Amino acid sequence: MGEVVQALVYALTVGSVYALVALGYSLIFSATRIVNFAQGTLVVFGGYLAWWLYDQAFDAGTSIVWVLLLVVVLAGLTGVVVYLVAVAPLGRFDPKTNVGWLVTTFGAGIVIQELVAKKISSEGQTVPDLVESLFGWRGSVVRDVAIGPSDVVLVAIAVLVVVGLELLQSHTRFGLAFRAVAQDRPAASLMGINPTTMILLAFFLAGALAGLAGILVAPRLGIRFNIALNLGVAGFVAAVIGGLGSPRGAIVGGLLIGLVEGVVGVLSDRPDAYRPLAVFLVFVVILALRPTGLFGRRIEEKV
Amino acid sequence: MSPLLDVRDLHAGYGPITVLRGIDLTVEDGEIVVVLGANGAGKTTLLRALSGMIAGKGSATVDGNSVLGRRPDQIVRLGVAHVPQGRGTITDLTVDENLQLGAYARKDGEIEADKERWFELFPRLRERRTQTAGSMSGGEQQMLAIARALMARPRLLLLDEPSLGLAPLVTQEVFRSLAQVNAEQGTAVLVVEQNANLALDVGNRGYVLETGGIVAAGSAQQLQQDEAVRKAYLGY
Repeated sequence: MGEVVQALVYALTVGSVYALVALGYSLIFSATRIVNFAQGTLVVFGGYLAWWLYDQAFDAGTSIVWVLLLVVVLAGLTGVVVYLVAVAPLGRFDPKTNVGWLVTTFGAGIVIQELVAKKISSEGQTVPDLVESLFGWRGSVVRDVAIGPSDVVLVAIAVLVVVGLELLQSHTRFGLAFRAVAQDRPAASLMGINPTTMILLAFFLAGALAGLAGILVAPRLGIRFNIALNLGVAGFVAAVIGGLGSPRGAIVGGLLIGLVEGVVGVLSDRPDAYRPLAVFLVFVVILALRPTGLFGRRIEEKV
Repeated sequence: MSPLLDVRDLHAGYGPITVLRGIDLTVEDGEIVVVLGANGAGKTTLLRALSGMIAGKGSATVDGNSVLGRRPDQIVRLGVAHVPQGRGTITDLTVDENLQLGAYARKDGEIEADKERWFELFPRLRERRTQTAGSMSGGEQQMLAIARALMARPRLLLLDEPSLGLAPLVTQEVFRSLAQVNAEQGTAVLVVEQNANLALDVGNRGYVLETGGIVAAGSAQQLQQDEAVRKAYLGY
């Protein structure tokens, strides 16, 4: 029993990371109808940046909170740079027929990865846990189930971010404008909204969320480059399952993928081999039943 | 005094294709000006160039400020609101939200009061205020599109074929509302129409556009009596 609950805790934690990555995909897709394949790398970038700031750049004893804020802002700005360098130069294009962004965003991810490996570190690294260093809580064992501080923080932050984004979109002038740009860019611009502002904002937020995921996941999983692809793919699958463009879809999708992985971990003696299989099986089944994802809307096409 | 909208030698088109070949046109403050023309004459292109949706060459100024080379959201702030063909509302958002967004460029606190004003003019919108725009009938969507544009408190309203796809009675209602807005608010209107009769009934002046150039201009009355215009656009 303890083993199963432990797997569930893991599922929630990892699922929350996927949810944060999925939110990034979702925001950018809403604003631009493209998928930013540098998203997974940005998570790892956030983790390495946090390690470098905490371990190398700052004096010993600097609070991890400053590192966190700085990483979130810098990762957000890096997201903006990805847009300016890899997407904006493509000019005005139809994302459906002109798929140059597929290569350029993926390429941007590779460039970021190589820069980090050269300038920061190419070894696996970790950073101190946020809650642990703030409150001294190192985790508890409840009836044979270990709950670490990272578990709590990741789940709480993912939920907070989703609720925040949902409220922002439904209750603020800015959120309304964002949805207008997502649904009909020409009509939105005739209402006085500058679509480019919304696109830059989407890339900033997506980058910031990736940075946040990176610094939060580092103490739990460690930060290495080979997790970038896994995070990127799992986050993408989570976003599509939940319905690209829907914040609540992103968290449901993320937790679902985490759960599937957790279940495989309990049932199988070779979890690493069967996890991707199970994840893609769920992916295919859900898309077959609901092509727009669980919370997705059909995008209306105007002739 | 110079006109509110002053267009001189305007050229515009799509990529290598030039549609407008040197248009001269003015709209005075508070005036309703009608542009008549067959399909493909360049009516929509004219409005799109004026609202910044496509690039144009030549000169086009609103209150002395050039609109050419500006983005649509900047032109909205110059006091120009464009109701494009196909309505230009956000179909997944509610009537209320669309009106709210219509006032996006405004910073004053009278947005709710303005909403009430347009609900008075279009009572059907009030009934449907929590419904999404896409779930309404064509006529209701057209009224929403106009109300949404008026929420920006424009000095100049650009309307692209407001009668398109509407039943004749609904079209009449839309034009009556337009005349009322024009009379009460002094909003100038540049309307492009194929339904020439109705448009000229409420309009002060008109232009006839043919293959990218102005071929006739005059008061609404003059145009209604003009032999060629009557044959081509009025159907009698």
